[in-house]
Amino acid sequence: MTETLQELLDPQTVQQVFNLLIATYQANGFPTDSWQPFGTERTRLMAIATAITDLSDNYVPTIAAGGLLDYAEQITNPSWLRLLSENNFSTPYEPAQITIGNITVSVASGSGPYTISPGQLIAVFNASGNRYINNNGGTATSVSPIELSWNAEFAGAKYNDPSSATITLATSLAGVTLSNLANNYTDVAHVGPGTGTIAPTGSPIGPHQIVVQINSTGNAGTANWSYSLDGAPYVLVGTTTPYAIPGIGTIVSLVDGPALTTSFVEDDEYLFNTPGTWTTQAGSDDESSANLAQRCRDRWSTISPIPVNNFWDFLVRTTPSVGSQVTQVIVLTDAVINSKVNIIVAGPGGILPPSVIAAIQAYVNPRVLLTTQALVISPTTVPITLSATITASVSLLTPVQNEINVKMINYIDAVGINGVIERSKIIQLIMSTPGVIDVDVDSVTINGLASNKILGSSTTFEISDLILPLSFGYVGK
Amino acid sequence: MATAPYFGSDTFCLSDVQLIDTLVTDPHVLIGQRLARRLTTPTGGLAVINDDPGGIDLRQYVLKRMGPNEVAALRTDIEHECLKDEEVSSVNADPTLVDGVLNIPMRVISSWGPFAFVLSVSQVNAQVIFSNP
Repeated sequence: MTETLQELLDPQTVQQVFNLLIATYQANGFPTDSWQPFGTERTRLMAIATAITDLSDNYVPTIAAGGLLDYAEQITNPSWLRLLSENNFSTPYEPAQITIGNITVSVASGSGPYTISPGQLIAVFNASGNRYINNNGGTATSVSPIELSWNAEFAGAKYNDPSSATITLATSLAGVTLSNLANNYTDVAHVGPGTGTIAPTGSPIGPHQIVVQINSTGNAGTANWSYSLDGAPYVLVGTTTPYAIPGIGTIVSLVDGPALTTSFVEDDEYLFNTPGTWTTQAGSDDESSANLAQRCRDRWSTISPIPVNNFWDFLVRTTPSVGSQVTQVIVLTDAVINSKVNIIVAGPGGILPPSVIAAIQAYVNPRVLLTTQALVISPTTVPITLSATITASVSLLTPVQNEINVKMINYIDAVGINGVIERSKIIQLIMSTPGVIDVDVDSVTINGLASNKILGSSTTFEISDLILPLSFGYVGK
Repeated sequence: MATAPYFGSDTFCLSDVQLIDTLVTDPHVLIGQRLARRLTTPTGGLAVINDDPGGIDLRQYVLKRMGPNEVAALRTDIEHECLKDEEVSSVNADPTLVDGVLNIPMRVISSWGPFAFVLSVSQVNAQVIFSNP
């Protein structure tokens, strides 16, 4: 008889079940010792033992584990944990999301104009081979390119392609080229009811994220506002607009909304990053079991009157419409303001678009105690430049370059917030690429240094941003 | 009269069990039926229930055109398969194929002693006829 949980969790072998059956027969006086292979009763018992083992092996351990969070997390089939999370914790799993981004369609002189319908074009990113389909349409001419929104062909984190990539059109149109250049600034995301907007201009210096908070209701020139740079405490600006934020080359202008309305409303927030990105929604895989189990554990904190770290973790991972895009969360009490909590979030492909951060912030704000301030921010991006000299087979040079590009993008994405970029891993990834003959180990550098790159610290949060194209030299052989 | 050693018992089954299970205790019937099932089970047929991986299905030969060489090879296969039974120490088979029926007179020396039987295999059934040793 089963006495412990471990006995339920351990699958039994056919021989174990067979021995159990034989023992039962023996106890009842059956001459089991004489039962040889191809004997009737032995064959019957083996068949029964096989059927019981099928149940015991495939079902009993998973049924036993499926009702306990720590054990359900370990089951290979994620359905058990998803069932448990939905039924016991009222926390449904987050399915994979598609990448959505903007790609500009340009038409060469002498070609076009083209009227493009939604779903008509398929763009292929050369390095990754990922395909995207336009989800809106318009007319592109040689004098007026058109920026369209594109959906990844399938959901998944592997669709987090970089900006400024080489893109070709699978559904070719004569004279048409595609580009996904990153602008200086992302679109400005807005949290709150105000009708005004923020216009960032200037020549930005380095990657930053800026949150503008309205401190008193009014219009441009009368509304007081402040800004937070990379998660630092807000700096009061007053009513000045436009205003040049010191040291980062960015000028912020408040722009009124429609007439007869008050454009800026107290506590509204506007978020934008520099540099911009071509994506407006980050692609993500189905929520991992580890992530879902963590949200289930976090769930208990939601019934506490005092918000603990797990509470913030739960909110940002469970924000509707954001779904599985949030895969990394760090909650940290602000070093300067006691009642302020910084919630640093990122996705599988690095920092998330400001619209996603804004959606999370909008979900968090009404759930914050009056005395607490919660700021959802991305980690600071650190540009990463990789260099190496690689010897590869001449006939495989192009596929080698493409595969190494994808491997480097995936690796740098996987490093995560405050991770360590390892030279040895880069060398290993290069050498494991079919067609690569050698890599000059001394030539492998990260940001010009032949050493590992450690991101962030206990008080600063950084995530890597791989600079493309890679500075890899290829020698054909 | 010498008492035969007890070889245990099993359920009567040649190609199927009977409507009511019949107990078999006669050693040469026990061994003979096991051999008959061994010779009518496709190789690996019991492996799907994690049992002995052996077996040879003689029904596959009944419609085959067989020359002397094939018959000699079949004889070796049959004897080899029968010797896998722990209680068989030697066996002599003499297969003949006539009109789609494979008749295999067999002389077996088991741990109980010698006995003979004829296994008759057609496309649809297998029969065992025991004779005196």
